[in-house]
Amino acid sequence: MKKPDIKEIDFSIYDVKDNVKYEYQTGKGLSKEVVLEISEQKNEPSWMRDFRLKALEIYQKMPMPTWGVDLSQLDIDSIIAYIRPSAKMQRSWDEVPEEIRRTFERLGIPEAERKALAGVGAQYDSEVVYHNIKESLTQQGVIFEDMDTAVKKYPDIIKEYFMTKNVTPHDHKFAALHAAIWSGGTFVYVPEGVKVEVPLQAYFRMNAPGSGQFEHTLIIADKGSEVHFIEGCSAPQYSVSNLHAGCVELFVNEGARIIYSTIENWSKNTYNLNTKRAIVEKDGIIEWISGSFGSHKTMLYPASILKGEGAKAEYTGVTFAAKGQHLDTGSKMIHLAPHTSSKVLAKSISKDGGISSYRGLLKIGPNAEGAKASVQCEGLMLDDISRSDTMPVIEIENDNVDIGHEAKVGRISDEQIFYLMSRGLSEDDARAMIVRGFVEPIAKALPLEYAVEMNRLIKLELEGAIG
Amino acid sequence: MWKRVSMEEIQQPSYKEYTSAVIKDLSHDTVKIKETKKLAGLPTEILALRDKAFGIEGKFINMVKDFYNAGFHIEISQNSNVEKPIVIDYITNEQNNTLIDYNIIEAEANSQVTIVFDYNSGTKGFHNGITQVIAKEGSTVNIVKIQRLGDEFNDFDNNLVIVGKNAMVNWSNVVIGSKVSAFDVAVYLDEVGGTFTSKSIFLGVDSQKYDMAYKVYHQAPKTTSSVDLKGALKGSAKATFIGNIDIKKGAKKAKAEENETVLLLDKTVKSVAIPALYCGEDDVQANHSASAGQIDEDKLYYVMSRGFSLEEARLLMVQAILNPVIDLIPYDPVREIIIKGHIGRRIIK
Amino acid sequence: MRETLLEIKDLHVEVEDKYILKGLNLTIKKGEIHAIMGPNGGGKSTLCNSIMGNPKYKVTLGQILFEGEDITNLKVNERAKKGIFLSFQYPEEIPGITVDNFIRTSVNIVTGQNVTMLQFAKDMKNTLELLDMKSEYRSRYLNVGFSGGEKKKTEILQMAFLKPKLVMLDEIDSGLDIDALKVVAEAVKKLKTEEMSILIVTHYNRILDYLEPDAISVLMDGKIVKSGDRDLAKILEEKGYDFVRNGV
Repeated sequence: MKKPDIKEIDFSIYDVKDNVKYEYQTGKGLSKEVVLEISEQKNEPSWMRDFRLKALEIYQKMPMPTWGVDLSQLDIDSIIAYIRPSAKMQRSWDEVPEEIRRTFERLGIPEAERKALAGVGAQYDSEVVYHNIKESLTQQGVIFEDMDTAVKKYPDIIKEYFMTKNVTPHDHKFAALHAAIWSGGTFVYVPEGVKVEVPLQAYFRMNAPGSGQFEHTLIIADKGSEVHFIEGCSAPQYSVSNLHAGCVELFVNEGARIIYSTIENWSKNTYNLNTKRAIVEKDGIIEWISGSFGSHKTMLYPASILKGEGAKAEYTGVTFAAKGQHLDTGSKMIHLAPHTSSKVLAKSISKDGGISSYRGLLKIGPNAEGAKASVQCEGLMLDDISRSDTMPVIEIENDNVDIGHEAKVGRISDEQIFYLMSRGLSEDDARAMIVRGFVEPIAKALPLEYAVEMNRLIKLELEGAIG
Repeated sequence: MWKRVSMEEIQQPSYKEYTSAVIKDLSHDTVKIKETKKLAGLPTEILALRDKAFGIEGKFINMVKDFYNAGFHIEISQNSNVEKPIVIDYITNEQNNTLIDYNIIEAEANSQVTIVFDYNSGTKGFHNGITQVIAKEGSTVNIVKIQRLGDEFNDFDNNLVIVGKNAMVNWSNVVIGSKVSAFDVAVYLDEVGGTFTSKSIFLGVDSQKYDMAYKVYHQAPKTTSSVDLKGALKGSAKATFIGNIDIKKGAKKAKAEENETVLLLDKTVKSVAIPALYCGEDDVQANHSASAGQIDEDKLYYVMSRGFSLEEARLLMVQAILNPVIDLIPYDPVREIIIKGHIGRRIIK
Repeated sequence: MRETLLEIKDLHVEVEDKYILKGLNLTIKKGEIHAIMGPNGGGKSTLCNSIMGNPKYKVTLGQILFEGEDITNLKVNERAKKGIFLSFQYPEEIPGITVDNFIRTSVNIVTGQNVTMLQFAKDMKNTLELLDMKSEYRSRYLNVGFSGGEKKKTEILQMAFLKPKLVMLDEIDSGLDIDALKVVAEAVKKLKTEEMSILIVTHYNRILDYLEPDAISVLMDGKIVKSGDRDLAKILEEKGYDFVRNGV
């Protein structure tokens, strides 16, 4: 079947392993020495070093989470915490080492930058190798820097915002781990009233087997500003475990709007234990768009703290769990102020023994007069060896609210298949079309290129061509 | 997150006799009723269920098993249709303020029965009980549990329901009494064609604290379940609802639905809903929904335009939600009037 | 004498372990409009589903020949490519897929050619006008939230694009009000070519007033019990199916 909106592509692009030289790496495991080494290698100010050491102490005291996915096979002591390719951060693709550049070219990053993006950051293992933004945005005062540079260039801002008032090392074990050994990532500041019309993108690529990636993303959207940030990630398949424990902190100030889109395609040996949170002030808007396709196990629940009156949050996500995957995803909506509203649309697909779970929290605090919230979960099971679980928690401490929650799970009906086949589609194409329709609300929320990317991943998963 | 009610939160009673249960004499030869206290041991059917998890918490279960001071073992013989409902009146008063009941219902193949448990009266006391229902092939068992104990009661109710082949259990909880009240209904649809339905209501006022759970396990093909819980909260009342639908692999063509609706009548109430849906089988139809909010202002306006006061109009709206379930209480107009009156007094003070 | 398009011989069909068709014989000629009437539960929808190849309907005996070729064991989509079209009694809803996208995909498959965007848009505009449908339908998800009448019109819209040789209208008149029925019937009439055959399944005469069938067969208890011309419909309306059952 010819699908006009999906280009025939080479499915192997995600799995190419590069033979890149690494300039420096810590040994396996985690200790005070490793943390000090990372800090020293980065030539960081002492406040950041001390922050890391404190976080390490917290990490060591905290227990592993006992809920969600099974983490008993994850051996953090065998993960390489920090691994730096021999490449300096560049502002031009031409200066990025050839092997690394070719990988990003295969993934379509420089091309997307030319066509549809206002700025791109590209991280390769622990370090950012490319970071650039359109001149016109710099002139408007937009800051788009890799996080390591930002620590040195904007110490006051970073010191104030970095894991202090949004996500903190005390939140959970992997937030503490992240705080201790974070490396790379992006800092974005959008000044008051500036609307960044074209999206910014960060792409995270893990290449080294047995390594971890711990990038930190901090976005501050000042009053009345707007920005769309897109995050992509992938890694080639290895037999040993990789760990991704990133952290995203978003500050949506009064009347501002951040759209945060993620297409996650980690290889199926990766543990993806990620933390994302947005604090939304008066009349601010946060929109999370999330496609989770890769990884061995994922725990990811983007949180929206609706702190100011009239703040709004939306979460639109699709999770596709295939063979060997347990993807535990969801969202947290915390309403703390009057007239806040939130909307969750979570779709999941399970296939070949995959487990997809929706785990969500909707909390309406006593001050959230007139809050509105809706949660809608839909699970599509493609066979009888997979699982689809939905575990929402709804806590309400106010009467003046309008709350609705709906969830359903099922499979593609024989009648639907027959109907489509009576119009000429083969059985496989009929199935693919129904799945495509199922995820349409998410595809629609993404810029065209990324919707195409997502449909491509779905096609891949349906055909079982990866993993 | 607010945890479920636990044993540690409440004052433990000291053991006391309880002698004020009333069960209407049926003189029906297809029903055998014995007091569980007088049984030499538990029936073998019940002993066989030891691997089935149920109950609010292990401690509550153990307490009943070790110290029960009341309860009935009711057997309905094969093919018999018991037309009049069996009503067990658990009356409490100053002397009989500690009720620990162990009830066993065995409905033999193709029998039909309705049993009403009415926990009532008293002001201060403690209730903790177990009810185990075994509905054998083709039987229909209707259970109504009314909890309208006094305001200073702590109430715990642990239920295990085993639904046999093509059998049907229709369940109903009416929860309007006690200070702290928790119930847990574990339903095992172990054989093909079994059905469980529940239509239940609650009304929480002042500082009442309710903890309600239905856990339905679909373990066989063509099993059906439907759980519907509606309620209203007023004052600083708190309610937690746990609704688990757990469809095991192999339960093909299972159908499950679950719905919770809560009316929030005051700013100071607290409501927690955890409607979980676990699914390990694709050939199923399963859905759940939960909603919470205030009484629709347009409806209030409409009713008030017909002369109702705000309080009366609110009561009417609460009744609109609760009455359809109260009306299911079989053949018992007196009980119905008492419950409706109780609800009315709690909304309009 | 016109050529035969469809020939059904001694068809026995079982649905969920129950026999619905018990030795049905039927011939439809090229270009013919053939109406099948009969009481509910007589097997009318089963006949349509069997011709279309719904896997739930199991043919245990007999044959379906289409243009002389035995298609009894052919898959649904292969039959569609041969030019068989069923307008469903209850069309399925396909969330997330627009009417436009769906029809374009379907046309490309069935005809094996890529229609140009321009041509497609032109055809779409004309057909929507013919069916008295607004152009907004193009971007709505297929049948999702459509009324009964809108669903039936969308079936005919698909038919217009697929240009089948055999059109089966399974109770096209149910869910349509009188005005909509007229629009649909006239559209079908306009879309009908010399070569196209139409099999109408209905309880009612009204659609037959518009489409003027060449032949009428009565299907009861899994068999064709009587065949005739248009007058048979009038007799049925006056005297009921029992009249036929009693063999008068």
